[in-house]
Amino acid sequence: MRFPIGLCTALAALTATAPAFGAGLTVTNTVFAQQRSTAPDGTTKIALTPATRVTPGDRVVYQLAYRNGGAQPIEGLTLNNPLPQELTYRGPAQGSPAPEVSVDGQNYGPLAALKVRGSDGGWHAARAEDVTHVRWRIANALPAGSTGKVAFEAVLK
Amino acid sequence: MIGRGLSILRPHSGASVFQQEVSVFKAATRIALLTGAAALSAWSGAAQAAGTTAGTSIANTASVTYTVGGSTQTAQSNTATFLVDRKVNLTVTEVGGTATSTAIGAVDQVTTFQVTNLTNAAQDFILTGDQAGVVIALLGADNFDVTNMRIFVDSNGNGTYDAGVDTATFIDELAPDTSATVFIVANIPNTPGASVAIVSLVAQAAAGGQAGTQGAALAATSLLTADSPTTVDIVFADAAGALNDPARDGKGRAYDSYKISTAAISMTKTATVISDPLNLGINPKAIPGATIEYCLTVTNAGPGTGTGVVLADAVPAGTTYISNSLNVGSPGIAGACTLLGSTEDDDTTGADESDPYGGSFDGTTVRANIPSLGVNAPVAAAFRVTVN
Repeated sequence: MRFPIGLCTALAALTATAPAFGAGLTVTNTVFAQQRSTAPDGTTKIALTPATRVTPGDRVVYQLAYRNGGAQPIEGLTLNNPLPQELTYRGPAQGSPAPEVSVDGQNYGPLAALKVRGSDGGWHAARAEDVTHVRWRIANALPAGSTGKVAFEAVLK
Repeated sequence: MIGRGLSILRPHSGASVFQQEVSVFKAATRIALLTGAAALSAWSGAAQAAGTTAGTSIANTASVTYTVGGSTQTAQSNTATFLVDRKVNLTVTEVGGTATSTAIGAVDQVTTFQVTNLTNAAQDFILTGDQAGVVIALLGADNFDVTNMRIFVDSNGNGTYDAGVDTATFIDELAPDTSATVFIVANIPNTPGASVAIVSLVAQAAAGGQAGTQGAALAATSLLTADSPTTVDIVFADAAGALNDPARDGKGRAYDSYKISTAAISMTKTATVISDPLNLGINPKAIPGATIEYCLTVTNAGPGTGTGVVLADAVPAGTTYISNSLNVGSPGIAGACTLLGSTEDDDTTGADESDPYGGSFDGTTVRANIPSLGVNAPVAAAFRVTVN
């Protein structure tokens, strides 16, 4: 679904609260920790808290918030996040589109389509632990002043 | 509004990272919500090994490319960092799985434990031992205390207590994912009725960083304390043990026991005139030609089972052993020496009989062999002689 560029620019002009002309794209990276707790009724609660208390085995969520601060629409937005080596990729965060993943930083695709060379020299289906990069390619143009967010989950090794 | 276009990037409504909301769900419905098996398995995938070292700063930066007005641009996100906190975890296990076999009065008797540091940092461990009146299936029921209990760390990694060599009383700077062997060394008192002493070793995580010095015990950072992302917090993550070892207290405990395996065996001997040639069985007298029965009763006061017990009794001078009169069994009642005893084959010819006991007579001494003598399960042996 493409939306009409003309309309977008018109709207952008009407709501021109963007800071400065030419500010361009800003991407804010924030890390959260997932805190699980059991509620009295037996359900499990998941809360996202600032990642101040993280120990091995804990799950963290990285959120990339982007904003087109410029006056022109942005197209072909690609967000590429190499994973810190201390983290194991787990999947997209709840509510986020799934990223393409890579096990080598070169070839991207769904995890099921990727292969890694095992210690025996053969090729095996890649697992989440093999992921080294995640990438989002935003198909739609990003009008001026608009924002969006993507996020993924990882576990601290 | 402009936000309409962004709905594409928000495919799911409801709780999400975007609002930092709390999502609540039943465990059963969680499975349906998950999209990938990887995420499902990861949920229970707490790392077993110590993991990333405490104090490590994890930095993450995304790079961005886009085109604006036909020209390609690149940009970097800010770097999101967090500091890996100290996840204190340890296990204490008893080595061997069985009680240490010992004897009354023995000194420097050793039980062995292993302490494993599963914390993501090197640290010291404070070692304490105690003795509790507990019952543990594999170890027995505690009924006495050992004396002079000491704790030493295996200094040379040979797994064996070397007196004077293994002298450290705390574990110093134990690296993540490594283990130390710890000995409880104690003396065994002579306590009547004593058989099993259960001891336990408690290892408590303590601050590392200074070799040769026992650090202070670690305390978990309070959840009420305002947190700083630049300090390494302490989180206790140890699991609960089977007995007196709560989860998440920074301590681990394991039990072992000393079992006294010696037996205290005593014997009584009585003689009864069975008959004489004149009075026959009525109030018989020990006159020449009379038959006399000797009764030997052996008792084991424990605590260990007596094995290979041999009752030997020289036939008195002036009497003659009556062949095939040796009878061994449980102590009898109402004047009988044995109850449901069995006659033992006392010669060396022919096949032996097949009951648990054995017997022999070598011309001067009668012997009854009792392969196994249980605690407080006396066995009686009777044999008869004729007065010459």
